[in-house]
Amino acid sequence: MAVKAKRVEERVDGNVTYVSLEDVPEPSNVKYFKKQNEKMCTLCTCDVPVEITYRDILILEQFMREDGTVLPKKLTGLCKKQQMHIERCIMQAHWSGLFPDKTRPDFDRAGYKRFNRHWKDDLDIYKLKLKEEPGIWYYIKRYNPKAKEYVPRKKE
Amino acid sequence: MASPISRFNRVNQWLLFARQWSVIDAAHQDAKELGVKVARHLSGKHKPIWHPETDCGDHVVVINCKDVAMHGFDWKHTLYHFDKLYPKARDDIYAWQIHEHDPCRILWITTYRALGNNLIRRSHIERLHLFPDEDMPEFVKKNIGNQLKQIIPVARKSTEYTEEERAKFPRIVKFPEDHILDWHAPIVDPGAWKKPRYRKPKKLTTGKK
Repeated sequence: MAVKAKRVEERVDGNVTYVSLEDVPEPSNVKYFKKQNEKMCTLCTCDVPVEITYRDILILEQFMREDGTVLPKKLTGLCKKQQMHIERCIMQAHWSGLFPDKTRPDFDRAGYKRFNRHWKDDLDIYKLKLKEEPGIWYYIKRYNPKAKEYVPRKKE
Repeated sequence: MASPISRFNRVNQWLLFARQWSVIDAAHQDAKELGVKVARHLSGKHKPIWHPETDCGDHVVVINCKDVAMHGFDWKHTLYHFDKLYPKARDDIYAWQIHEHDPCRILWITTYRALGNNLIRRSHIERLHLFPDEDMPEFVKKNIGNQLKQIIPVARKSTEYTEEERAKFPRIVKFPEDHILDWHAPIVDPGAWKKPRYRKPKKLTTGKK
């Protein structure tokens, strides 16, 4: 089996603690993308003809920790441009709610944060212009939107 | 050359002159683009026999209106300006505030605007049926005969992927041999240092007046 990485192991023997780096084996049937140029970062050289977006969760998860944070540039080995692109896509995926198992339960979900959103480009998070649209008072009321909140007063 | 009329495609000829009820799922769809698509079907512009004076529009039922999406942070950045040109008839309301009060109102506004600025849109918008979720009256369910395609494909969440799909997916990053996996463990937030509030030093006084 090929060695993937190392893991820190601690072993306590009486009043002596032994700390060592153990090999972590990985199965041989795991596929890796071919790297054409060893000097460039993985995303700049690998054969991905399509732009990585916030929807490509299986790709973004390889650069994330279990709690939803992003790995730093030194660990991922990406160039600055690709690292920022990945960070923006992960931020967009978090906003779209595509990582339900990687968020904190006490995360603030007030007002507009509960509603769904979609993104066209990864640089859309920087476009923060206020848009003024004309609203129309004319409306055909088919139902009472607050009907479910009505609780009849209990008679004693 | 047009295809010959067979027993299969003669139905399309009948449907062209009939008023059909179509359903579309609004979940994760852009409110503006969906309004344009629905307005197109309400006015009848999807039919080759369209004319502004021919009342050839269809009924459209939109479900899951509460799950409609907006691009980026538009829920926070879109301000609807209401004005009736009468006193006390002006208001500026954010899109998320309207959506919180009535989940169907935003889609109604976008469809009404997409129908154009004419008198006939008032009769076309009567044929729009919006529902916040999938509950609808029986007569609407019985009338539905067609389903429209969604514009934006719904993104898959990380919980919707199976273990086999994850194992089959190739790895992009190949870590070097001396890479330590403990660096991938989540880091506990040490917290932020809060500057202590300045308090005036108390003047020392004797107990006597």
